[in-house]
Amino acid sequence: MSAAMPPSPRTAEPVVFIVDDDAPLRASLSSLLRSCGFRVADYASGAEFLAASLPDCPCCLLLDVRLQGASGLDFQAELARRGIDLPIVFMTGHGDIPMTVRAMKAGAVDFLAKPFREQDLLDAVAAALARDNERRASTRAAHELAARYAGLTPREREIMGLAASGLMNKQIAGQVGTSEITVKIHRANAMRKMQARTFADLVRMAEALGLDMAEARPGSYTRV
Amino acid sequence: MFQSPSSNLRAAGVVLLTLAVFVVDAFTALDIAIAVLYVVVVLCATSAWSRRGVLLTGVACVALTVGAFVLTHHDLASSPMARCLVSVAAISITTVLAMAGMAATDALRQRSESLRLSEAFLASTQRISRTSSFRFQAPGGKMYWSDEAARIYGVSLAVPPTQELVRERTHPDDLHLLAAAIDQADRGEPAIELRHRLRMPDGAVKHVHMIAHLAAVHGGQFDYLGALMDVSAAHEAAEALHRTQAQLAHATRVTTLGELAASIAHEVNQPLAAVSANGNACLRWLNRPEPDLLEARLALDRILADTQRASEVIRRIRALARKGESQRLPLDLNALLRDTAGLVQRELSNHRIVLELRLAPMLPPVEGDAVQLQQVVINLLMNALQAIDGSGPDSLRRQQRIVVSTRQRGEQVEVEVADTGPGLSAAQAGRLFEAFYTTKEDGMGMGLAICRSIVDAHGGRIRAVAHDGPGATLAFTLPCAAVTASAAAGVAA
Repeated sequence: MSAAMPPSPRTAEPVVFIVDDDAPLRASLSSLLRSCGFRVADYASGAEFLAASLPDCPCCLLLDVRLQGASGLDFQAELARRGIDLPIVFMTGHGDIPMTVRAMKAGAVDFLAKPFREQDLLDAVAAALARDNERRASTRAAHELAARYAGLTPREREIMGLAASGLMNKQIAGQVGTSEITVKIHRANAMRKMQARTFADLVRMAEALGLDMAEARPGSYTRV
Repeated sequence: MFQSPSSNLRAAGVVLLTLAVFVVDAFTALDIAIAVLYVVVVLCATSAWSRRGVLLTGVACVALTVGAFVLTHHDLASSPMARCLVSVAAISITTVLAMAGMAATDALRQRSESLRLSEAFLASTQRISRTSSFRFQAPGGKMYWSDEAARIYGVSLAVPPTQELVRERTHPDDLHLLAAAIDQADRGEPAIELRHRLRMPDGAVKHVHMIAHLAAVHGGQFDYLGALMDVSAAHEAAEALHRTQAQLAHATRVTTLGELAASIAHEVNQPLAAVSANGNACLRWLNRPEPDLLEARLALDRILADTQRASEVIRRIRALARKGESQRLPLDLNALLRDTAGLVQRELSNHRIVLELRLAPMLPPVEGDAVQLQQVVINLLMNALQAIDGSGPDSLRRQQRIVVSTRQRGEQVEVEVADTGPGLSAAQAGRLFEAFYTTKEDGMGMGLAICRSIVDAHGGRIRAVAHDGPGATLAFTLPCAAVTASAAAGVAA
């Protein structure tokens, strides 16, 4: 592995991982990507890569289809099995169509036939990193949301769910057996804690959190 | 044995003479043994009739003599009687001698006839088999040769053979061979063998094979008897066979290259991709606001190394695809094996097979054609690969490996290729190197047959070893070039 990885994982500079059993090719790709301002970490095999820890920043993987011992496609499957969601750009020495199809079906971002043009490589890496950025952003948002939701009291969660499902305050009050004023207060607290500026925001958050609102549908109100 | 009219004439003469003698004998009263003249009749009869005729003539003459005596002498007077007996004795003895003479003449004639036949026979078989006989004396070189030899040498039958003539016809490049053979003859060696070429005045080249044996020695002179064969036809057939084999070998080499194409494309593209990435990187390091010369230089160094690597791959492929005359040079088998391993390494690792080289250090060189021997090694490796691949899902569980080892065994160098495939039965091992014998569904059965013909042509042997259980070992030996190589080195130095 090259020493191009800075020690601090906090920096947001993206990292490009290279897994290829060909040392001279790794060196050249590493140099090219570093000259473009990426941080690079390269490995001779999938096992070496798995032994290293992933930094908390946007990353992508440049992976050779043909590796000594195991193929790049096998390694892609192994990553999926381990739940490591990393955008992969495949490299191959010759256009092997079945391999390409398999790799793309398994979620590869792109496929580069060696020797490739610099721009194709940089475009593929940029696309992969953008995808990872997106994934990271949505994961981060989901995490934050879950954290905020965790800060709600049980009553606030209940009322947030019922409100998001479209019930009026009065109906909610009837359902949970409290006054309309109390419902209003809980609802305002929930909106504040969830940092929802409008009621529509709150509804979207409830959806994103996947709150089960079936019990609180308007139709079920008639049961009371 | 009926002959020409002249012999009929002779017969008539004999009859007339007989009658004349009888008339004189019977009807004249001469007191001499006229009947003795029948001897002339008998002698004349030898030229007119066969031995049987002569015998009959003799008997007839005796009968006539006795008849004439009975006719003219009614008493048994002693004097005429004695004359008669003398005549009969003379006629009988002459008849017997004449018949013996005729028998000897016949035998002689028969012998000379059969001699003539056998000579004709020999000449025609010599002509058909293009083999001639000759005799010569050494030193000095007095020669005699058969007509066929003159034909082989392309000279008139009337021209007497001389060493000068032989030398003149010998191909200039083979004169040293002829000189060596003449030296051998001058030393009186018991057997001399020489294969060389003749060049005819019209430029045609003949291949001849000469064998001579020492037949007699007298007074420091060695007499040799020998045979000279025109082997041009056999030589051409062998050449044609050799060319066909070379073409077949080339075709299978190209086929093998085709099978390896994917791996080789990877091998070539890898350094090319590296070169292009390094070039781009170098430009970027230089184009920075503060150029990073160290990184740029490193990228350039890598470009040079990668270029070297790419041309190395191309060199190996081109060597394999080369189509040309085989050439024998002393070569290092270990280096050849390392080179070949480089070609198929990728293919093997794609099949998850580990290739292990166990090469003996200080291996003596062998003499051979690098391309052909490389083909043998590739065929053996691909054979091992296919054997392992063909062994089914079981092959996925165990770590599969191919071990290539070299060792010296006396005057031979042995190369062994052992795999961990399903192995061979003894029956398979026996037939493995036959042409068109294959255990694979889509196999042609030529790969190992070509291996054998190449190894055989190098004076080596190839064999398959059947193990109990999994794994097969194919091995070939080649004679060391140690002696010839060091001799050549000595000459070169």
